[in-house]
Amino acid sequence: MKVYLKTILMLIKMQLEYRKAFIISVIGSFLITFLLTISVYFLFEEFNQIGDWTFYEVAFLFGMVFLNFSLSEMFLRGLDHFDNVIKNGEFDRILIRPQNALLQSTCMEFDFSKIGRTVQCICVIVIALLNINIDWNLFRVLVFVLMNLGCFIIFLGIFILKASFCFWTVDGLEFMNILAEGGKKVAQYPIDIYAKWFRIFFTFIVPFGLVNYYPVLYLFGKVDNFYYGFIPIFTVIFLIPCICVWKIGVKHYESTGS
Amino acid sequence: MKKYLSFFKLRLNVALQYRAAAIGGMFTQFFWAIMQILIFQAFYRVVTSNNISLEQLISYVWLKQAFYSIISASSDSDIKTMIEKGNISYELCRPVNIYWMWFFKTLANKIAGGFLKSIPILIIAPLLPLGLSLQPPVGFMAFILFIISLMLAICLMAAIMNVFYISLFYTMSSKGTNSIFYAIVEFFGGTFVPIALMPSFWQSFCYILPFSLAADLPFRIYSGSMAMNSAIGYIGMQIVWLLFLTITGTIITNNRLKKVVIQGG
Repeated sequence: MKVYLKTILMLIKMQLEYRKAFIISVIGSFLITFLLTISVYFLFEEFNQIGDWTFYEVAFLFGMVFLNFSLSEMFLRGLDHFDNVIKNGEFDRILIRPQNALLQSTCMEFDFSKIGRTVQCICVIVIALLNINIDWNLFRVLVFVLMNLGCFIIFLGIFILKASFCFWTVDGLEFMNILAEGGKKVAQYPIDIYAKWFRIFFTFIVPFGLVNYYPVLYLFGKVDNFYYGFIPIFTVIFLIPCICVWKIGVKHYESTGS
Repeated sequence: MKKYLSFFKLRLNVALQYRAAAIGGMFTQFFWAIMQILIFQAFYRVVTSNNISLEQLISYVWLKQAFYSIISASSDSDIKTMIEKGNISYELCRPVNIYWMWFFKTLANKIAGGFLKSIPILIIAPLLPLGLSLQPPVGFMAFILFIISLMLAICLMAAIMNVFYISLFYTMSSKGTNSIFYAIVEFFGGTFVPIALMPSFWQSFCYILPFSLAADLPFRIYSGSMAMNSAIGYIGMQIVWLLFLTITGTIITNNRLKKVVIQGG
């Protein structure tokens, strides 16, 4: 952990060196999410509601998913760009160091410019929460934290999976983006609006439903059963196969490059 | 003209090589389109939009997905690195106008990648069960106008991309400007939310800009959510924008090239 923090600090300093490029990147990452938020607003302006969910409820989900996505883009950038590491043969260097290979690969890069997006998402969440009637108590705060953690864990799993696939092929990674980008889009809306097969996939295979639907029902007081609040914990299970694939991949790894 | 055509052919061949990536991309396309349709179905279950019916919207989503790589702001990494790394000096040695060379390069990339990707959707999407399927065009006239506006849209998009490449002469790095450019093109092109579903003030605003004319107009004509008269008017606007962008683009590039600084050594 200490190693990780130190690497990140160094990478932040590195990016701040190029001030102008950094500011433009921050504006860029801010602008995309900002315009996406406006798009959601436009849709609700036209339709008022989706299923029995209102604008602020969906805005909350949107904010949560994008917050955790941008956090994972920030902290897990190394995994996201892992194909470069493989292509350069840099992974050999990682393997000979006496540190966990997964941790090292994660620290390879850190994209601080996503801070623009992160701040914007936090604003969306705060505005949404102020406009929803929630009976706050300590347990609901815990549920909120668990939801965010769970969401981050899912993205972590997806990023590990994506990186692991690089051991077999560095082409056709566009397919893997379905999980990250598609999941992000799917999870913006509560999954009960989708068709059944779709719901099952995003509950049991890629468990976005565990963070953006069941706990939200409890958080917004749509159901009283407080077990719903604990459901995000199960996202940890999703990590197990992902890490297994990574382990198999490392064994399978043959060096490329010179 | 012949030398531009050979650039076009060369690029076409390169783009056709990546067949495996194309298959992966195909799955992605179907996934995206179906997901969007599911979301819109959920919206329409409660209220219907006055501007565009659900069937029209579904056709719109399919077509937009089919031609996405043509009408999206995906930039040519070749041209980008050329400017960033300094390889542009080679290009400058060639006896061709650099603006038009880039224009045709982008065009070829978009057409080769784009039409290949559109074929699976155009074959499979009409066969899907009702409520998910791509409908035939509303009429013969609409179909003709759709083809015309689509052709113009591709050229217009290439011209818009050229604006981005020219901007690289000034900023030197594509990193941040890339995402700003992407955000603007996607939003005002109606990819984040279809322009027909925007509030009416925004709709009229968006149709003044070239982005929606390139990325939204053809599909609205096809799906029949736009009256024929206004469709013809907007096609005229496409031509005006195309002329404006290419002419100013050529002039700016020629001026800028006189004082261009080559990067790298």
